[in-house]
Amino acid sequence: MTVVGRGGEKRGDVLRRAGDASVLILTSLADGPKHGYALILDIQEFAGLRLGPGTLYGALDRLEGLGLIEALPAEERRNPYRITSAGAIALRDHLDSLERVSAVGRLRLGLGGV
Amino acid sequence: MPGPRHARLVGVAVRCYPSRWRARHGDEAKELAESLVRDGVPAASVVWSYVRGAAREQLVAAPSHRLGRTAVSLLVGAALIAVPLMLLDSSTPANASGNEVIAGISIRNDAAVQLKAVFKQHHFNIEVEEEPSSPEQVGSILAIKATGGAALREIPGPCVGGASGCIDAIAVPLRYTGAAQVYVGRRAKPGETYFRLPSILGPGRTSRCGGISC
Repeated sequence: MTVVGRGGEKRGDVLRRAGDASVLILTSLADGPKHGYALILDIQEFAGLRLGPGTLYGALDRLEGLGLIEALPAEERRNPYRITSAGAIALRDHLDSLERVSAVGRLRLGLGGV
Repeated sequence: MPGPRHARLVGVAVRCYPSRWRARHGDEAKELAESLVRDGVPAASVVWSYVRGAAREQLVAAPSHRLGRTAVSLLVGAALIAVPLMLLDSSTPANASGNEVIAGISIRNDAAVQLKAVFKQHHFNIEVEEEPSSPEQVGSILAIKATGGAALREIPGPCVGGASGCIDAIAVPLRYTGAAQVYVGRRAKPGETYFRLPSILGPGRTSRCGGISC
């Protein structure tokens, strides 16, 4: 997968190097814009882990820098974010890649293929 | 409710970030911290998360000739935070709810440590042991074996991956006099046998870890 950054440079395998927090955030934003607190609650619900706020803001800045999410106008003190089309493509490609690894892993564990 | 000491410590941690970060996220970061502490997240872990985040931001933002100054400012911030942090009474994932102490797991990799801290803080005779578990039960309570005293109440929560059927907190009566053992799931080592969650396909069963994601 290739994503073009803000500076126009091409980047490969963006999410593989962006960290788990970035994948969780993009997954959460895939069903609509959210601000920080809503992201933490949603991720805790679907992934069973709570992102630390420092980790969250670091990942948000990183994703925004890569052009995978964008900030919406602030609502009082809260800044909502939404996934961009580049972010949706990056997430889809990354999930496809995970699925391939998962299928191989399950086969090798004797758990049956997908 | 978050106390003024929590807010002050969060304020100090936020001031460790670069000014452009503070201008962008500072107000929201403080409000988010308040919400998390109100939800029962240990204030110490919130503050610590911001301190680590600030260290990362400073190292990314600072040109090499400013590294020394950055390190000094982070050290000063850490020193200002460290002592009060140790004194915070809500630094363990527990909160009193009526006549019970709720010992919850908020960080799955530290589940046993978190529970032990709560039980020790309240002088409960409850031991915590880690057992290999299926990936979805890592950091959840697998079983409770109690002898004597009032009953311990299991509080369900989501498993890793979002499935239901896991236990991620336990309610202990404030005056609990019995003894108990709590078993917490940990990641299985390659070749190790572990117990799987019951599923719609049948009752719980044992599996063997093949070395990938278990």
